[in-house]
Amino acid sequence: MVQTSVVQVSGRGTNVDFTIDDTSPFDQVVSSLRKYLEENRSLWSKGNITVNAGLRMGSREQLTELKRLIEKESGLTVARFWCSSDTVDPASAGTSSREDQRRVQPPSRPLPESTVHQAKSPVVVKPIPPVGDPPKDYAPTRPTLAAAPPVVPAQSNSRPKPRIEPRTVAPSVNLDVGEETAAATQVHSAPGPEADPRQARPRLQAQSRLDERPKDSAQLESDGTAFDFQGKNQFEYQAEYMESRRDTALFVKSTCRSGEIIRYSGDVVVLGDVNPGAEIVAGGDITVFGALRGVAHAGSNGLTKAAIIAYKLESPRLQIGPYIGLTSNVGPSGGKRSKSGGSGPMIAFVRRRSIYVAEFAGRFSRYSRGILYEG
Amino acid sequence: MKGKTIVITSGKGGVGKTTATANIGTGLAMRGHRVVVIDTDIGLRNLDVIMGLENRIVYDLVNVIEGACKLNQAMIRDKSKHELYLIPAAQTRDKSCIEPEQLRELCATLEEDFDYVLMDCPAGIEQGFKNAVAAAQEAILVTTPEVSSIRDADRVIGLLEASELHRPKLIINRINPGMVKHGDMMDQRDIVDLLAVDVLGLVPVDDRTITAANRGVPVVHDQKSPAGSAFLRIAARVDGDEVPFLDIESKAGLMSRFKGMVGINGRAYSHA
Repeated sequence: MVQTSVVQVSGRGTNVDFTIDDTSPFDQVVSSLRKYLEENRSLWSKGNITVNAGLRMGSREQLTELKRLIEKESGLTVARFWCSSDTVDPASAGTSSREDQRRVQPPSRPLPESTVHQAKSPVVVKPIPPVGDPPKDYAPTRPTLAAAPPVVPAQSNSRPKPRIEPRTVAPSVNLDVGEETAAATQVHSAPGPEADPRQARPRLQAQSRLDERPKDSAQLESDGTAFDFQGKNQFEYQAEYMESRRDTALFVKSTCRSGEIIRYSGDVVVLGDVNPGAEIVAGGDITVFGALRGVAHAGSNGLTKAAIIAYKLESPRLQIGPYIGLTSNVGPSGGKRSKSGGSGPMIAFVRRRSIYVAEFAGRFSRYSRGILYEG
Repeated sequence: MKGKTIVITSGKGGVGKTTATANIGTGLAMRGHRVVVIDTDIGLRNLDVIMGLENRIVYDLVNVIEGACKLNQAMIRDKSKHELYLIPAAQTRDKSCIEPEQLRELCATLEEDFDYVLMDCPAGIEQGFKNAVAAAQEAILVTTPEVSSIRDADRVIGLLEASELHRPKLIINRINPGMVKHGDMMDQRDIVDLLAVDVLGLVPVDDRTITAANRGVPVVHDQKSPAGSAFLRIAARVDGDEVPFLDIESKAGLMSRFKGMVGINGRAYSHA
């Protein structure tokens, strides 16, 4: 881990993460990035990289400058820029095309097939939440280039409701994932600097109901989930919810092995085991369709309503938001105990400031009888 | 002739990489193949000792790569009459004196002449590991039934996959059948469950492995020994044969064998 004030670098092998402080001014980012790359020039070999602009949405000139800087100093090829859809500025999106805004295409320089250490097609794309500032909210803050993001006050009930058409927004956002989402939002949210819907959104309300995500009303009834629409009709709520959660889940279609860290701002779904020594850090829920034997941290942005679901919950350390559950006895195979659970899939959640586990009975069921995770 | 380059690696040290390399190499040569084994553990060479060729070394791997000698000058013919050659590592240099690219070129040259090029990988996941892995087309992973060794193997599988070496084959070394039976040692099913890779072979713990290494004759020559026969089977599997797996409980005693025959004994590990 090399750390400077603005640029942080972590990683191993072909997965290297650069984390750049979102709040620093652009020229400071450029200078510290250049300094870092110059100091560590020998570390890089050839390869394609993807730059996640994160919450920062620069102009095309700025992105090009970043790309030129990285390619000149490190010999890496910037294949693609991307950013989460929250960062597209609706004010500027109206004038220039989305492609211009969000992507800078690389020069078509073919990679030598022979070098093994180049980045292969990345298994996991890892957007990293800003490390520098403690997250205030699950939903990412507004992108800013020059100054710290404006913190929306917690008591925002009096703020105007989002000016969106719920019935039309909900299905379209639902369908669109990844890059397309940005386009959908641009279309549906009213552009214009004077009434920015996202700025005005009551954030905490959206956050508190993140985990009670409704698919449709029928399901809600059958689950018996305590659900408070707070006077909104359901479509309005759903639209607002979708607005707050434009991240899609990250699917990891392989076993997570020792030494691998998966960081994602949304939910993470692992279609395999998470072996001892591996780590998953998710802003939302973590679902493992296998044995969870590594470290799992759900709700890494402070969301205590996140949950960890695994077919076999054998993790030595579970963390949800700030609360940590540790196991005391780990068996010879790195987690053979099954004290805290039956045979089926288990869910871990926060209750009374501790991690409790219960047999999984649906994500939004009431778990009144969980037991403390190996407490 | 287009051969295959296989790296034998483990992550953790002392699990039997070098022993496995010597024995699989010898086993393949005994099956009539032309085999070369390369010791890439520069600075800590051992393969020559295990194979009993220590005092025949004149040139080594680094000499070849630096162009100080010809390739066939550095290749030492094994004492047995088989077509088995060793390229020893340099003892006075370190891992950083060769590049992955150079080793790959060397292996490509050797593949023209040999059926199998086996590389003994150093422990760890640093430069030496990267060198060896870059040159290989396939990987064999050696582990012992210990938690630490399995943890390292798991990490190495991740790194191998990142280097485009998918689905390495697993050798579980030094299985103690008695301890497994009493539940004091990890069952190979647990290991395979955790690592999620194919098993190439199971090698029981065997004193003759050590005496053979001390004498400089790989244990695979002693086909009556459990480990020797296990390595011979592994060599056959590397060669593409379908060989049934060693019944690791066969030494567990006459009574349990009898029980196994009549189906009373619950656990048989022959399927692994």
